[in-house]
Amino acid sequence: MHRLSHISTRSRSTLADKLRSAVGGSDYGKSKQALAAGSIAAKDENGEDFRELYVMPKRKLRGQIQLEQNTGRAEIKTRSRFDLMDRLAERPPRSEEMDPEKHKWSDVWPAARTFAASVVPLPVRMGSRPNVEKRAPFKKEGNLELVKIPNFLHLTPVAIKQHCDAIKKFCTPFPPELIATPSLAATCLPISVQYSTYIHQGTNIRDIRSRVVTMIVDVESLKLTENAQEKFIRLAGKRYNKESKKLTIITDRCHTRKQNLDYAHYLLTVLYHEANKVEQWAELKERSDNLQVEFEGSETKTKLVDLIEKAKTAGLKPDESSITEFGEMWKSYRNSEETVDKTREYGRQMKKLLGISGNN
Amino acid sequence: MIGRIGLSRVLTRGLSSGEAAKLTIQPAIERSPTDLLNALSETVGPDTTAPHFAYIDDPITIPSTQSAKKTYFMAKEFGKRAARELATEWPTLFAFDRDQPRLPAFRPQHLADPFQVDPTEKSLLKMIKSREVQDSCVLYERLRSENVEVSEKVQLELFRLVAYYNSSNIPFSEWQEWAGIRNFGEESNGKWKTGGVADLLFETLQKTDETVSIMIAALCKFHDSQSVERAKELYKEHQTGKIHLEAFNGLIGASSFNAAKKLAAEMNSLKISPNISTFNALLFSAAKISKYEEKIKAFSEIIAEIRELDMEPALSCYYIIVKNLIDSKLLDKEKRGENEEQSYNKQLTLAVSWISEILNEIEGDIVFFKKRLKIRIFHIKIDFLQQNVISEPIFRSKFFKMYDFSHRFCQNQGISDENYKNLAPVTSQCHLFFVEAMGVLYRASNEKLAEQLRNIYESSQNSIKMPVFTVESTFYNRYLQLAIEQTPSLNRIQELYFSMVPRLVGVNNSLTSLVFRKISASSERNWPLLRRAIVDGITAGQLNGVLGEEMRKQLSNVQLHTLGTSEREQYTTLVQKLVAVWIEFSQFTEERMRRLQRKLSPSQISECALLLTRIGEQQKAYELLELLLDENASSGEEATVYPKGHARPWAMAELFEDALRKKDTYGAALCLEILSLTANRAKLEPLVNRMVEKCNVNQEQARILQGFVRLRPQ
Amino acid sequence: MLRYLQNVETHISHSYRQISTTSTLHKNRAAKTKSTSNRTQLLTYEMAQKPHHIGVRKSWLTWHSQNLEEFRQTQPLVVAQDEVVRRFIRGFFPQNLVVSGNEIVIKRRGNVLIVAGFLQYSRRLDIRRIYWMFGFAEEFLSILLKQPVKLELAFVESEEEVAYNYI
Repeated sequence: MHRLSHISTRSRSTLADKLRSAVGGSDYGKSKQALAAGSIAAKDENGEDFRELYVMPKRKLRGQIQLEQNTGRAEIKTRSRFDLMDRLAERPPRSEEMDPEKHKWSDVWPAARTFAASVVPLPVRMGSRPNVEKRAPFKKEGNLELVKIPNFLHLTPVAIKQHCDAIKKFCTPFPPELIATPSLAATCLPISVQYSTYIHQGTNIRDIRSRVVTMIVDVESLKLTENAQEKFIRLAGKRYNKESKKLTIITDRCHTRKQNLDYAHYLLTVLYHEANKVEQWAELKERSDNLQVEFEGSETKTKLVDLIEKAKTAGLKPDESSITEFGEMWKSYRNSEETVDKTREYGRQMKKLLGISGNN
Repeated sequence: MIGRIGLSRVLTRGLSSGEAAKLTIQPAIERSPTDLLNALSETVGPDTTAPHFAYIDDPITIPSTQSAKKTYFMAKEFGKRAARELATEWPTLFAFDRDQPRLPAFRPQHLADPFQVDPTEKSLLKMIKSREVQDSCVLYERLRSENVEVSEKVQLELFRLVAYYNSSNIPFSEWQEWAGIRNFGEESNGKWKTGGVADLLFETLQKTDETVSIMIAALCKFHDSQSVERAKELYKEHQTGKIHLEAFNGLIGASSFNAAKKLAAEMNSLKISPNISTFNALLFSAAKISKYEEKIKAFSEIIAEIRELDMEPALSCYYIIVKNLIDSKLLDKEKRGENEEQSYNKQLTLAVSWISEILNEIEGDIVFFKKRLKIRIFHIKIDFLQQNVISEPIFRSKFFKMYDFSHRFCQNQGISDENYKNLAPVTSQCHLFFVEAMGVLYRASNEKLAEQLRNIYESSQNSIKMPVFTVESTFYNRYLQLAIEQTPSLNRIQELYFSMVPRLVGVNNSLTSLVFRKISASSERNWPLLRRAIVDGITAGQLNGVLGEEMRKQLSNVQLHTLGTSEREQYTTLVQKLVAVWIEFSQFTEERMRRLQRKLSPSQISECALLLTRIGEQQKAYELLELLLDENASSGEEATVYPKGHARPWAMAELFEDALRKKDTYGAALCLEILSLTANRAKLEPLVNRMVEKCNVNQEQARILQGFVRLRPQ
Repeated sequence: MLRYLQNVETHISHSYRQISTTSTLHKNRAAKTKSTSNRTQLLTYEMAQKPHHIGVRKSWLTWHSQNLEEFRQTQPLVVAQDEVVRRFIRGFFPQNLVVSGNEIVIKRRGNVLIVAGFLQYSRRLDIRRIYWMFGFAEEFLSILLKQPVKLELAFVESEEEVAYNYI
């Protein structure tokens, strides 16, 4: 605030004041009287100075000053500030000079930075108010809320485009065949390796989870014979997923990621070769060793064939051709979880096979 | 650079042959670890509104003047040093050891104390490697006093170190830890320390070629007359052996030009091929020639020799030339006489022509190769002719015919499509060329060449950079002043000023006064430039001198009706701020703050009052004017007004008119009274009459006024 | 003699701690500033919002990822570091704080710790001193925490600039 009120406007005898008094101010008489009354420094008959009786000091008492301060009527004498030169060094905010024609925003704010009110030329406000109509949200300068939040002024669309253009020269095109037919990934790239890298806020860059390697192999592409496939599946155990026909190997038993990756490859190779080996005792395999119950060679089939024969003689019209279909249904029924639908399907198929009509 | 590992291959995947589907996967493009970051950083240019990144980016902490820049930077640097010292002193208090991988940057350590370390050769070698000169000397003394064997090899290493650094610690410019102070340290090489460890070692070691060369070179590097004498003696004594190149360079640099030429001839006979430092030394000795024409001749000879030998003259060569192209006696304008003025002009023109050739040469380097070739051929032609006319070449190396030379030149360099070549620093003084050249161009007022020089400096091919806070600001200061002087258009001045101040150039008095001059001289109106100049003046502390007056004058010349609304607001705030600051300065009446006080002078008061009236603050203006009439204000302890001086008449006249317009009797009376301090009755009477007419004065008042005027002297 | 000892014992038995369970003292007084009669209590935006508005009307003062489930590597360490930084800044810039240094924002970007907030020009502003202190604080905290620490404190002329409301 540039107050000049410390320059007092006491009336003295300037020309202007004389004119003022000529208009007839109330002070006119007083000044004359004051002059006429004589000064306190008059001397008495002996030529000595008038000795004033000390009643009260000539300054304002403490109580008086406090009263004035509390009621706001105190005369505050502004003193010149000692640090004036340093305070004068304050420059106007940079945002005033920024011109979108001449400057690029990505030059001004190239990297992530806390909000600086003197740099950002936007007139933003932030903060809640009980009544927004009456008083606008808090201004930009001195607003801690703006400082707290992460701002993305360094990632304007223009800046992102510039960055992308700069990095493009290091990129190679994605295989167009994969874009055209995404399903090709399954056949052409049967092995997929997954691992994670972890970044931390702090002084420690190690994370123990980064050595975990997951390898997912499409078993079909291994082109194993049926026996080998069965052996493969037996060897793989829980790692084999029947629905998607994929083998998943998750390793973290070595210290580094590279070692784990090599180990996963090693496991795959070993499995493959082991699956292809035929042991002598494998010949001793019986029907009860199968992984899944087969329809061919089961008692159900023999009994069913008999049943069909009997049904033919009984006069019904069994549908012999649908026995393969029955066989598939029966296999899926036997080898998976029993549900209501499956049971109904069983019944339906049976009826169809035996030529019984649907009602009964 | 980017490379591709082979062409794109067709990859087949699948563990069995047969129906192998084909995917074209191109191999990855090779890139170094920092290539991506470099590519990204190239999208970012310099921010011309921001201060240097070393400063805190806040309005109060941005430095405006050169001295402020230096002090702020050093203050920050010293704060860091203090913290580092604390951390080295008390390492156990900073023992937070959870960082993986371990970061020695955050664990500062004291240097090894030569008295505590093991007295072995290994520790001595370690100290020599880390270039702790004085510590290694102390350790060496300690080893000798303890009679430990020190091998020849280690002694030679120590001798090399000690001779190079004159037995004292490495200079500021080579500090690695505190990069900031590097800029501000002293540069001069001291005198040779006789009787130091270097001399001792020289005596103890055998006198081989190498040791003698080292000694000679060191004596010439830290030269005073004695050491140069000694070097020459050593040289004469050691005629049997073959002195190394560096020693020759030293001797050449320390002797006069004719002696240097002889030395060079001897060098040639010993079949030692010169390098750029040799030519720098030659130029340096040529610069000592007092006669001007001979000096120029010597320079051209040396340049021709450089070109003949297929070498590029480095910028440091050009620096030495440019520095010495004008006689130093003629540089000071006041001390120049009549005929000296003529010779100065002649020398200046010659200097400018040299510089333009040099600039073309450099630009040719960094632009197209073939263009450069043409220029070089052109130059070789000239030098060829010159040499035939003037003298024989110093080095009797092979003298090619022009087309032969160019042919070989092409073969040596290899014509390619690669058109861009980088300007890289060759010696530590290459960057000074820019400053010197800009200085000469400033004297010659040649803006075109200055522009060219600046473009060369700022081009992306140039990697020779001047230290930011010291040398570069001189460079840009000269450029800016030159450009502003030569440009008539205020818009261009605004552009240049805004982009360079205070980022590159600190605000200084000559610059500001130049800008004000240009603004006054121009017929265009440019408020932003004026405002910026005044604001910069405030921040740089120029308020209280001659420039303060200039500011007031400029502000009073501004026509308020031509400004837009926001500009008018800016004008208002600016005037208010200025007046408040001036008043505050005048009020440092207390004892201990007395040295800061700048009392208001009457002219200052009148001008400020005028400005206040212009923005509409009548009351304050009158209050201010009343100070002129107040006796207490100009005398005594609490004085805030300078007792001498008068109010400006034109300001008072305008104030008077303004008061009359507003029919303000008292205001007019105030102005009148102030005018009466300097004017006589004749001037005052018409004013009084006008006052009586315009304002509603009653009888009494009119009488007072008439009486007042009648009392004034004639 | 014995009686004296008995007296001592009764004294000892009377000086034990007690928990007050009265309802009048049962209130939650955190972050609630009392209003004054002549509206001189300065409230910043932070102080004006009650604690249940955190995350709704006012944002957090520290930003780090260690509170999330998968990132909980060094959670207590980060809290301790924050406290160290806050105390250091509060103690090191005594004249220049705004609102007794409660409102300092700490952000972590990768390895770098960034301290943001507002400082006021004190009554005796000395810019060189400010720079010295900034250099010292940055270097000191960096060496202490073994990670780069940057101060992005902005300057405000006086506390009135950050005042949201006066109670």
